[in-house]
Amino acid sequence: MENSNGILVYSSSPHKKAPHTTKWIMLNVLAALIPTSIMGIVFFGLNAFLLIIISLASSVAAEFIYYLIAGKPFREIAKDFDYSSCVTGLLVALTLGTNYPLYAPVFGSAFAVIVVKLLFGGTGKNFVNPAIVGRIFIFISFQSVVGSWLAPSIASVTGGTLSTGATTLVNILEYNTLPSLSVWDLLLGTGLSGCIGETCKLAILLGAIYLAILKIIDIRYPLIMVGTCGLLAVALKGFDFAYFLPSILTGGLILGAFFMATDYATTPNTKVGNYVYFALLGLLCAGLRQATNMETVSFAILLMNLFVPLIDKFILNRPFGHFKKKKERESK
Amino acid sequence: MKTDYKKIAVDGLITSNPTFKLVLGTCPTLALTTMAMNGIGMGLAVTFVLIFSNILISLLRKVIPNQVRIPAFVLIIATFVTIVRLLLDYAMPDLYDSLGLYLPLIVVNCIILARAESFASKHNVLASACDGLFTGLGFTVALTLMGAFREILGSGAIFGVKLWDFQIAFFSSSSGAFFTYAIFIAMFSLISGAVIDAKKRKAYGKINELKQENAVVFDNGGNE
Amino acid sequence: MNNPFKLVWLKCIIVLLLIAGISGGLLAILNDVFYVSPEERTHRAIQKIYGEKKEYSVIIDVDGTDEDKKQPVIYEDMGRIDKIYYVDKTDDADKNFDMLFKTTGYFGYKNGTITLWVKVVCSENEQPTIDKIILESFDKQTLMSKLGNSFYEGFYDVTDNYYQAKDKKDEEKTYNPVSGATYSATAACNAVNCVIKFVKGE
Repeated sequence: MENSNGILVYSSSPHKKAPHTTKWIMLNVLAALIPTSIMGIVFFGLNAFLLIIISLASSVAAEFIYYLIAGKPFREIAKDFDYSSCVTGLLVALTLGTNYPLYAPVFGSAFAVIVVKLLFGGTGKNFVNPAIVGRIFIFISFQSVVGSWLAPSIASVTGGTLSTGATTLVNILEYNTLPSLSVWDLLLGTGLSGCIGETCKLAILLGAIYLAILKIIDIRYPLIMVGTCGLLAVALKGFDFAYFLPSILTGGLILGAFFMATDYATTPNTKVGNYVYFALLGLLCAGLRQATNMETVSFAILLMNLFVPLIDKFILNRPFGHFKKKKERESK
Repeated sequence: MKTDYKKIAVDGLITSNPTFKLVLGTCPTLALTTMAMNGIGMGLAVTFVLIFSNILISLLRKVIPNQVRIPAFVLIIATFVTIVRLLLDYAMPDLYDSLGLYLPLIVVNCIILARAESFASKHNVLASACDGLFTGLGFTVALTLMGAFREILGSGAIFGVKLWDFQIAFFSSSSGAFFTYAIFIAMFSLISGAVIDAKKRKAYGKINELKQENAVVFDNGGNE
Repeated sequence: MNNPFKLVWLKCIIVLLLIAGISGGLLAILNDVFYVSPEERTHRAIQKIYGEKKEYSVIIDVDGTDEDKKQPVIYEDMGRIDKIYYVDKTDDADKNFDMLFKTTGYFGYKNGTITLWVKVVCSENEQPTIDKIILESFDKQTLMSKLGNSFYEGFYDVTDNYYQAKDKKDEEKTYNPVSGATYSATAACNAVNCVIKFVKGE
């Protein structure tokens, strides 16, 4: 605010604001997802590109149409537009396999944006993660139209065999066979089939480190989730540590942990609450995976999102200036 | 005291619609609306039980003591549900098979007990029968609409006739059932709220007109 | 205050007994009126399997009138067959006909049973094969919705091997496992095994 000489400016707090707005955060998340998207398109070709574009377009269109029906003028919608629905659309596309039909992300993104986010009050008021719900919606609805996973266009770098059909994860869980690809292959995603965004773990980790440097996400929490998932998976396989890295690096665990479980509106408010939340997430992922022999990261995130209000109710921050009564008695 | 049959009809169908307003009997609503035909069948079975149990309870309303009215009601309702089962097994075995477990579950359907408790035990026979008929019709229409919606979107068919190949399997699943129920309750509240608002505005407009006329009379007349 | 209290208590019981009595009588009458005979049920099963009415001749029928055809075929650890019919058999020399079995399998959930209608197609130069299976009724099973059409279709076209429901990893035995409903699947497999045992002539 302009401060002319000798005249006091009277205003209420806050007096000092950081330059971060929701728009800034969302644009940075989009930027962090660019390496993942590019690697997805490189591995899986034109279909992946079309799915991403259609998903982005339908999520943005869903938000605009919702506000237009609600009576908001178009200029105001465009002015207030924070790119959160873009992030939802992109994440929904990244969790699909390439052989989903092209109309699937339209319904999934629209459902995610309208039902989970807008009907409950808009940005920051969603009660579960919208991208997860979109992904589950598409999974339930269009599973019958989809065939088996497609192979990536770049084969294994270190000489392993291509893994298609039943994904590597199902092989580990059900038949206890370690994947024939080495850890580098699993990290880079070469020779590994799966959803568009989840195969190249290196790109996901680069994006996550970028967000951590900008302090948009706290890098400890997803690491806790990934770690506990791996440890429980090892424990369930008879404490054989050879399963640790393959369990973490197959399936959608890394993408889910770093980009979906860290959504602001659906994580607890306190540090201890967050530790509990992400640890439970990791345990739930590994446990459900072993019990059902399929990829359960999205269902685990959805379930734990519903428990966040409970965690917030019982794990509270210490109020400012509060001290325990026992210490008061001791000091007297 | 003359019973207002029109009010009973409107109550059963719209203002106290058992599915969309009172939200009673949700178990068959959620489970049997995967196909519209099941919805109609269940609705008609419930209507039958509603009409006859209302008649009988209304006949016996002076006789049943207040302390045992719930056991007496449940006995009577269970009798008629058994009659419906025997009838359906004899005459319409296909419908009997498709309703399956939910047919004996009509005994504990809250709609029937609620109407018996709140209406049939206090009004005469003809009014109770009417109320049973229209409440059952409201239930049937609600179930059929939800069933048609879920069937068209979830299986691409309507009343068993296949329309197209496009299916969104979400609406055939149980999560789709809850979601469809929510959509329909919202739509119903929206439409009925708008209609009631329009009626109120019209009535308010009439009262304003009358006030204007009377005001003119007062101005000129003074005392009278 | 004693008198009114006693009267109400007595009145309650009398009213309830009266309602129960009258309902019971009404239901007994209607049960007779709407009775579905076993013959009618057989006709309905034939209607479901073939889509039209067919003539059949009785080999064994526990509800039938013929005294020497009334014994069911019992297999101790599997189940029993209540009715066996020849369908589409023009005369004794006809080698192409269908057989219809009403079989009940034991050892379901809580020791309950599952009753199936099984249609077996016999032709001259080929092995008899199972063509269609319809569920008739079940006793004490709770997860029957898990045994859908694809489960019953798994039994079609074979009468060589017996079916095992529980052993998932044994490659030699053919199996039809249903996760979460293994007891009910066992009972259904037992019912089909009875038919297979009978057809093989053991």
